[in-house]
Amino acid sequence: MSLDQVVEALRLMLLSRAVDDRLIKLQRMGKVGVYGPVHGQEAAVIGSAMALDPQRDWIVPASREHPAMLRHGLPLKNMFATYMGNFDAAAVPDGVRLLPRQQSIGAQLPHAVGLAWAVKLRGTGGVVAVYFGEGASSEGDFHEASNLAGVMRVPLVMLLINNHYAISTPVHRQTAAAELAARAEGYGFRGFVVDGNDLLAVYATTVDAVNRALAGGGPTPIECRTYRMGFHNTSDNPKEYRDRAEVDAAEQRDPIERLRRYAIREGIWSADQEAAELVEIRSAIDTAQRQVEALPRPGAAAIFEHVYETLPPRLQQQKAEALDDARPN
Amino acid sequence: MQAPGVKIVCPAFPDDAKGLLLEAIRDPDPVLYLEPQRLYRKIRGPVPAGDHTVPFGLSRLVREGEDVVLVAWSAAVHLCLAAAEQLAAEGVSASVLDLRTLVPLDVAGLIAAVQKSGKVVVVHEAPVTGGFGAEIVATIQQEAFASLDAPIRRVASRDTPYPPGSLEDHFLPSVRRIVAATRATVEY
Repeated sequence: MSLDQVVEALRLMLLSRAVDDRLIKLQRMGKVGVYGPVHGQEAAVIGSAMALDPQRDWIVPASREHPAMLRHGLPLKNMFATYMGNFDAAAVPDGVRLLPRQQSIGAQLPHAVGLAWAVKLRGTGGVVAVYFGEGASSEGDFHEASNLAGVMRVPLVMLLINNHYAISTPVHRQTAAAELAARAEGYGFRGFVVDGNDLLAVYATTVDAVNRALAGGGPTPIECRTYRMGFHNTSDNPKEYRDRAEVDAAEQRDPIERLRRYAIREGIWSADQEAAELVEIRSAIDTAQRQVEALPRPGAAAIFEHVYETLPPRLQQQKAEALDDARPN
Repeated sequence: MQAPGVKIVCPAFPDDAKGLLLEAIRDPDPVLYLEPQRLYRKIRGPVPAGDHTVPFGLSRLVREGEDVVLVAWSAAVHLCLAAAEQLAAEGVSASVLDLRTLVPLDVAGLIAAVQKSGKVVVVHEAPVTGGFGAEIVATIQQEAFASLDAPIRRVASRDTPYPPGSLEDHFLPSVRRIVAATRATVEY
């Protein structure tokens, strides 16, 4: 990774943390329904995303990959719109190689394999990077997707973000396997384990996986071992299932602090630069929030959008009724 | 509903929540016990202590009225009760029938409630097309056609994917929609 890239990474990590803080605040204020922070997983998500080319490669996310999606071309305003309930404004813009955020655990894995297969058939190059957690690796979808990915030898990078908790299920209750990446052998390919809080290691391992896929070498799972420092989402209370001591220990290994120390030591970052960056970040977040708030609130008609290309008669009638019902008395 | 061999129950009140659950545990058949998440912490009610069970296949008339019966289950029962209150102020007297069990359906109880007024509105939270309300309407018209004095209306959710929370009110059945449908049925 070049020193410029290290600075880019650090900026993305700071943006990610600040977006987390703002969306949590907005949830507590009732402006966001529910939100799950990236907190603690920034190196795993950003390090891997930086090995991808947004002009060529696809990202298939789960629901904790915000900084990767932003880097790949999703406008910050669109991300805020997702959580503030305006699905039209949240849509991935044309030309951005991103599938939308996806909540159904593991369901994005078969989609990612299909997408990678299409990329291979088209022959125009590029890889698909799919993100999922250790919880998703217990789902049937993971196994079906992995097997097919191996058989069809698709250009797929499988980023297994092992953050040690699937909501309240700790990883030692999730599986008896010592290593999740080792499952690759069962599907005919090879997986790697990496310190998910070491952004440089995640980047290097992902670059290898991308190159392997581009050269026709098929899928590579990368198990990024990290820790979910925050709650699962705003409806969750981790105090009910894990110790303060464990979280404190994780804070000692905060991936942002780790990269910050490295960047300062290399002479490419300083407290002043960080302060300036935080001001810019805050301004960008304020702007994104304001832009979404300024949009007309979606009305009754919005629920009938994106259901069919053309609404069938029964639904046209329902839409008319819904608009009528929405009128004040 | 289309899974044979399975029973389906939906409590709308705390006493039925206990009664139906105990009954479900003891029933030798597999039971789908559907709790109305929407009502957690929203409603309160007396719960009999001790071994309180509620038989399956038995509906309960939770409000008596002469002009029309609102048939519902789960969270929609409470919407119907609110609608009945509003309608009472306009001089419309509505019964509310809480089915409690969907499978096996209390056909006798349903028909008895229908025959009192000959006018019916069915309310449920699932999308309208192909919802269980259609089964109820089909059953009523087959078993009690001669008793009906108006077509049966259904008030249910729209045939779209579940929207973001901020748009739920446009999707779900509402007291306003139930009142309008009931008025139209009574005036038929």
